[in-house]
Amino acid sequence: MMDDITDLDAYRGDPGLDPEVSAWLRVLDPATEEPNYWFRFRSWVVESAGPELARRRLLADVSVGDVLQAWSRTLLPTALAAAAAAAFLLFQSPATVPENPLLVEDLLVAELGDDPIPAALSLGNAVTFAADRF
Amino acid sequence: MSLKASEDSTDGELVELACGGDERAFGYLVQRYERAAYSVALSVTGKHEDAEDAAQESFMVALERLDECRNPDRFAGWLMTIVRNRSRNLIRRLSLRDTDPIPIGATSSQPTPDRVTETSELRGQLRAALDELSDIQRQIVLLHDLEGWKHREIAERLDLPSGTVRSHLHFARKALRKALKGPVSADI
Repeated sequence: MMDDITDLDAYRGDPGLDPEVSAWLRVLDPATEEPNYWFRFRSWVVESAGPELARRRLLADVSVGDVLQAWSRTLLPTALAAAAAAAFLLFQSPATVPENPLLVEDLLVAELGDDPIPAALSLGNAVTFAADRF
Repeated sequence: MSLKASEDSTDGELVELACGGDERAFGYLVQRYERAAYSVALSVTGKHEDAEDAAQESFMVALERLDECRNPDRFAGWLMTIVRNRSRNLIRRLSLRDTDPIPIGATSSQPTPDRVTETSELRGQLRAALDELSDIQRQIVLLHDLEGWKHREIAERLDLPSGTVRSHLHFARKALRKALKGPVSADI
């Protein structure tokens, strides 16, 4: 009966630490046999975490500003060079620009003279045409 | 003002610093939860060596996935989930390798007759008694009565209702007393 009342109280309220059970469980703590155990455990973990921590430090050091700065360092000179080249081409001497630019159709028939192509390729003239042209 | 890791720093602050690679902050997190991680791992694996491996592995995994810890102030609960999963995976791997599952207390239930100390005898009895408890009961009683966590902390960190934690703790203690009271109480 007494046990039941104690159990009920324990069930309802905050259980608190049970000194007896706590003393039993303490033998499961590795530090009872090796006082240095937790220090060794921690040292192992922190040492093994070294590379990952270093990687994180590196990432943290590279801020957004750094990324933009590094990016602009390459981008700005390239953009300036491209702009200068464009300006040079745009404002170069107008004499070099042909007054009547050739169209594609003109280019196709530019060196064929006045003879129409079918006439040039007609039988009899074909060999002559080829010899003349090539 | 830049944040500096100290023993008084909150979990959230330490997690934030550790995310940036602060070794000191990570060290404090390990120091704060190493025992709890070991206890949870032990409650799953039942063997010191496996619990040690699982707990250490869990800290490494936690560091690698620290950015995934959505609520850094609840780091402990997140870490304990990793510990439980790693421990179960370890057991599964060992079971596959050895074909026989390793029950809790398997190593200590057969102490060598040449060198039986009182401590190892108690440890053996204790592990056998713990073996009778459910997984969650073992975790709760170890975290509460070995690591000194409050039942509310356990409830929050293991994501269990407070009343459930109290009842599990109560029945776990009762079972341990029943198993251990006679033979070892005189030695304590």
